[in-house]
Amino acid sequence: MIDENRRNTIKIFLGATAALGAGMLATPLVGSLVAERAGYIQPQRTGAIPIEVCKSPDNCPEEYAVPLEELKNGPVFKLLKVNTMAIPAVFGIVRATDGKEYPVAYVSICTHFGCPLNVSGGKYLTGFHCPCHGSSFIVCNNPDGCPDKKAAFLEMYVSSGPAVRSLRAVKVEVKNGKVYPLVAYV
Amino acid sequence: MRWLVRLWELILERFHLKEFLEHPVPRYSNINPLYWFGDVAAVSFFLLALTGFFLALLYTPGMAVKEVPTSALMPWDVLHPKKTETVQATQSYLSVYTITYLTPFGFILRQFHLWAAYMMIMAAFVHFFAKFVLGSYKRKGGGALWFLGVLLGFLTVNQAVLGYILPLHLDGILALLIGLNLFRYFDYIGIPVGGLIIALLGSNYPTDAVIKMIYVAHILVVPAIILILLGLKIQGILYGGVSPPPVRDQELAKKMVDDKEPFYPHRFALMTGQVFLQISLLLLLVAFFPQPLLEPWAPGEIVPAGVRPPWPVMWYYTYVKMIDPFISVGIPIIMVLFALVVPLLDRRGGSSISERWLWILIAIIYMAIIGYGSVLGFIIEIPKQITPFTRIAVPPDSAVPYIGTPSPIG
Amino acid sequence: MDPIALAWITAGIAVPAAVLVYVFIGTDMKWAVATGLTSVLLLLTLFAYTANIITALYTAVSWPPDPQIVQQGVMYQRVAAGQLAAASFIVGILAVGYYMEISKKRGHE
Repeated sequence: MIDENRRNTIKIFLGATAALGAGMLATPLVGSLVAERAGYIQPQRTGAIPIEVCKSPDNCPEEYAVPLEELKNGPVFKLLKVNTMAIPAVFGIVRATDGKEYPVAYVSICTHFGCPLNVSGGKYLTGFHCPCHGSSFIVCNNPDGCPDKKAAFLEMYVSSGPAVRSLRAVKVEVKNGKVYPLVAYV
Repeated sequence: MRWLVRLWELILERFHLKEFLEHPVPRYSNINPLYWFGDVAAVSFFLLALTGFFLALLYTPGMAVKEVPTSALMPWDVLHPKKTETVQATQSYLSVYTITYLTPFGFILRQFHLWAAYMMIMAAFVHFFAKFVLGSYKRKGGGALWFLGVLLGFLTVNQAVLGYILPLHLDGILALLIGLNLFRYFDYIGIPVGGLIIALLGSNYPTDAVIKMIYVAHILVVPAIILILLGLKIQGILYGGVSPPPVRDQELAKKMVDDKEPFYPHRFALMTGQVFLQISLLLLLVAFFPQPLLEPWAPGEIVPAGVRPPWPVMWYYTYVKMIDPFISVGIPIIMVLFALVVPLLDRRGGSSISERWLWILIAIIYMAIIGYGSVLGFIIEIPKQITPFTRIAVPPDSAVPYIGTPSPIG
Repeated sequence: MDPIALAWITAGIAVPAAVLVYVFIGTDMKWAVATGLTSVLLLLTLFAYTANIITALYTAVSWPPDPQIVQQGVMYQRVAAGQLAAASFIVGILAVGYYMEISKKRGHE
């Protein structure tokens, strides 16, 4: 009996030591990987993670900015490199039904399975098409919103295909003839 | 010559290899093809490790984009003829391009690795179904081996996908993007998988760090786990024996099990033959059916129409196109989980075919799900995409590109 | 030499050799080994010749590559793979033949 107890004690002791050792090793190993990236772990229940690109247009790096002159020729793809992230953004100009023009930007990752999107439309940005599983996105260009599509004004809603939510947007602001990205939803 | 023989005998003696070499192996497992495919998969793994070592030396991962003249692209690599003078390619793509087309014997090396990978997947599938039909998990120790086998199969498919991503050709980048975003469906039900991916890899879009991580996983982490599990499995088979013969007659089964040959030289000669024949088959496939190194792609370029996944995941592509995403995303998880619990569900009765027709039927249905999807994916273009019954209405903050009310220009 | 011609020479050696080895395995193992090893030696010599051409061809490669040279290199490497495949096949069937021989012997005892 005493022997059995002693054996169990040794087992527990050894097990605890092994667990402690594994923990001691794992902390720096995993910590070195996660490091400053851990701040991003806040996905919303609607499937988007907000990433701050710039606080305001005043202190935004020039490499993120897209001149309006360039946008007038058609949509522009820009790979925004923020910290460790790469965010594929498509900038463009949407022409509303009342004739006014709005500069916009969207993250060009399909909300279905994550494929890169092809831009549709010529000079003005009208929508996106996914080459993988065939989802289509169309911008709501009615200033009063599109209630029949359950979409707000400038929302890139799903017009057909298997995607489950509208495209994730990049919040933009225009200053001195340039479009600056502020917050990207990935 | 004399001293060579003595050296060999010394090695056998000092490392107690004689016990291993002379251990008896039943004859029926040497003769019945249903017992061969595990070996084929294992040998493929070692051939992959061998070729992979040289490929790892030659390959440099990276997302840096460079211009390549269109004339450098081989006509069999592009989906549609390119109209521009130059195309953009990533560092990884150029690296694999250099291995395949500008290195002596690099073409053989890469093609051999690719075909060996295909053969490993194929052999693993056949092995899985053979053991499923035979009910090998019913013998003592069989359940544990089955469990290891399912894990190994899962890792094999993982390894194939990781390897497919590494050249960063168009299809590889698409596979990577899908891999990085697919499991974000868990975000919708409150499990922060999307955040975890970004926390671990730093991005949910390919960057240098992501590619490096995939490279390390493909050449080091996953193979190491496969090697450990494979070692455990071989140990289990060595001491627990191969699965019993699929006959109902107990006496006959016992007779078959007792009819044994020593591993060396009998089984050893057979295995040598198997290795050489396998290398031969792979080299013939390289010679007669070389696979294209698909076309390059860089972020921001248009994705041409008609991109299809490779055959090991073609069945999944078919179902993804036909079924609601919230369900289709779980299909592989359900398939793996079901395979894991099969030994717990199928416990009664013997292991002969007439006694377990129900489970053989289930095995056939399992096979048919994968086979039907694969064939369908290749022969028809699924005409109309489904409309999911789960469209999520999102609040404007993540969908409208303005903070506050949109302001027009001009 | 032209890769197509090399391929035909390879096939001309490999196919009869494989058939001969297969036939001899059923009758006399000694002859099977003799023909097998001779043909493997022949095939490996042919492979050495092809390898020589390949290495010579790839010294001419520059960037951006000439698609002509790349296509030729691919053709030669496919032939080289075929030669190795043939040699490996003959060794493989010899080993399997040896297994059948020794397991048959035990059956007679």
